[in-house]
Amino acid sequence: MAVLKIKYTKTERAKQKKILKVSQRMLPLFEAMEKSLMGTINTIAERIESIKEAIEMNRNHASPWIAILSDSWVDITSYISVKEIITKPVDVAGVRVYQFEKVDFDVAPISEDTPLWVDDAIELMKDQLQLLAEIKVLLLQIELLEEELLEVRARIKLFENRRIPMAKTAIRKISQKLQDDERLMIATAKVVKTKLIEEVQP
Amino acid sequence: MSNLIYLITSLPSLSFGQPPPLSFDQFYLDAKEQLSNKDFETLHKIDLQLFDPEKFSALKEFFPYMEALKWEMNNLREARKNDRTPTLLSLPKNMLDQNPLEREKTIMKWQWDLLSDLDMTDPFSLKVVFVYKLKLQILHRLHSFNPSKGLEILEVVVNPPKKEKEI
Repeated sequence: MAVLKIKYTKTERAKQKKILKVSQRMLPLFEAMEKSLMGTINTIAERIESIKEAIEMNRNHASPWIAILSDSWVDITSYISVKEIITKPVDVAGVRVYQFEKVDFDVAPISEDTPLWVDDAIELMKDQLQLLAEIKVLLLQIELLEEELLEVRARIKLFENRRIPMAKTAIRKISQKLQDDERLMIATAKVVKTKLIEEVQP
Repeated sequence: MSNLIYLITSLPSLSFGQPPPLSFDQFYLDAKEQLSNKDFETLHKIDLQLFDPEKFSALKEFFPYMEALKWEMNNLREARKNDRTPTLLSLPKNMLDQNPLEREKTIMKWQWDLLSDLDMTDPFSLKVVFVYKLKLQILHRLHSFNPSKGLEILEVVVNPPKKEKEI
């Protein structure tokens, strides 16, 4: 631990008292922020889990007909791809993150000769790609929120382990020193006074 | 003519739902040996996916069915788009309740049955070889439906491999 360099003055004590007051007021605020961030991260994680379940459900729903995707007459992979994931900036627990809006797809035109199943496959793929894009955006949100959480925790640690104890120690030491100085001053004054009286009354 | 008879009699029989008994390479090899260049070229061009009645007069009676299929498919797509119940005129009605795989198989069986019902007064005509090729196409397509491959393809589209960053 770094050695405390303290100026033993009343001004310094007032300064340290101010630091202590502000720190004690800020600490619960950061603790509330930590709680809020953790809660938000948990909510997002739960949303990701529910999306994963939806993806699995879609897959199970399609499994009786998934074999058609390997149709030698159709290259379904050339029909659909993600053009852009559209998001909008929002503030979540005081952090600027991006919220999922929708996915813009590049979908190849379907001709009258295209087998009917291609329509179903495109719908399935759109659903799955949309859900996966939402997960991607939510994971990015978690990443940003976790960065903020780390900073908030660092601040809490700073207040709990350094600022508050150091201010308390400084105030105690300065008070002690000032008290000692005062006592010394009184004692000196008494000695001076006694000496002066002795000189006046030989 | 004797070559054609030889070819027709030497071809293995085809049945819907069974794996194709020969590859297209083998089929073309056999056909090329027994058919004239002109007939082989026609056979090579004939395709269930790109059916052109102008080019294949031998199968002109099959063309209206292919047109009907296109019309029905268009009708089904329109009905889906407008959220209404479609009415089927030539395709089997039960396909409306089927999943995409069963539906496609129903359409293929419908095509298969139509090809089987074509007038084959002369059992050793070129038309028999043409029909054989179209049926073989149906079997090969049917055989390509594979659940594991289908799942792999879905994964490729849904989770495309990330492109490596260029250095």
